[in-house]
Amino acid sequence: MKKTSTSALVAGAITTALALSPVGVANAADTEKCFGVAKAGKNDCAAGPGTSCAGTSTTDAQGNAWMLVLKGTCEKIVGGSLAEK
Amino acid sequence: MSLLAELQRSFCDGLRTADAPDGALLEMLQDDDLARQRFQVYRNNFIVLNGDALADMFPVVKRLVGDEAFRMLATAYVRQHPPRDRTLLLYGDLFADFLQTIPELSGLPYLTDVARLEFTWTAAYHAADAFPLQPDQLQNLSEEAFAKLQLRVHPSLQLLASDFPIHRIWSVNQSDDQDELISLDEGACRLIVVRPDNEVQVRVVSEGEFEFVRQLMASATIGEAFEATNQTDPQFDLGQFFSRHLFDGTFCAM
Repeated sequence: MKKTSTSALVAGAITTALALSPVGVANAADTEKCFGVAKAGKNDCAAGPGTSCAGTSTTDAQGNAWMLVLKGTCEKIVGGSLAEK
Repeated sequence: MSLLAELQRSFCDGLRTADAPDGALLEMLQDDDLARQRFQVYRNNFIVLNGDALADMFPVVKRLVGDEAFRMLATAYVRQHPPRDRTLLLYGDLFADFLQTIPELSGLPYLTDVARLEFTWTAAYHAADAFPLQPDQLQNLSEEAFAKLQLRVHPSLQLLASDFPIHRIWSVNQSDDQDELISLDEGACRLIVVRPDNEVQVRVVSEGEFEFVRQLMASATIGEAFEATNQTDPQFDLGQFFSRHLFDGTFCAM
């Protein structure tokens, strides 16, 4: 009995989705992903890092000074019983 | 071990420490100050540029802890987990786990999950393409057959659950000018990350939607997945879920 109601429910849900689906719209796979095109600030991981000579002006912090200076926006996240600093 | 192999090994080891190079490498370099300096330049590039790749991968983590702290974390990560792949597109797969091991970050318990979300975003971005499920593929099936169907989710689709409001933290920190206060008491969130076409979508979903998709990914039929989901979340509305997502690229062609 449970089975009948499940398959009826599933059938109803899919039939509704089919009825709502637009006919003959462009295939979503028509658009092509272009390498090298990425939104700014959206994890644009180009081939650049590690391959160019840029970056020599930044020097690797020597030593193991684990005194982390947290100066980011984490200050704006508050509350939570686990999060006491 | 051959001299060359030993030299290469100590070169690699030398890249991962802040100390002076040793062993065969030192023998090669010790009488040559210029070579030693060049090695330092190479090593600095190795650390800094791989660190830059991490900064590109984890902009929100960077924003959360600040540039200086991020640079230190990145340096330690590069030393501990140097790239294993020729490309850096997915460099940082262990960064979230790494952050969890840093005692100084225990006050930011959500940071690991934020890092996971950022990595998941990029992994979805680079995942394989797939043709979406089309209505005509279901049109000729009998209604009884629907519940026995196995849907395939898009190859980019990943589930992510956190005890913290990481979606809010992540969205608010997409730009530098954020000035919102976020309370961790907003609590847990469940996310579906998927890239049906070119845009990565990060969807905040209900317990039921999360469970239903999790069941489908574990190869359950629609009927089985629905019944299992009903146990967890009786509020789950299959009709609404399918109306929105059955043909939007969440699922791919059979």
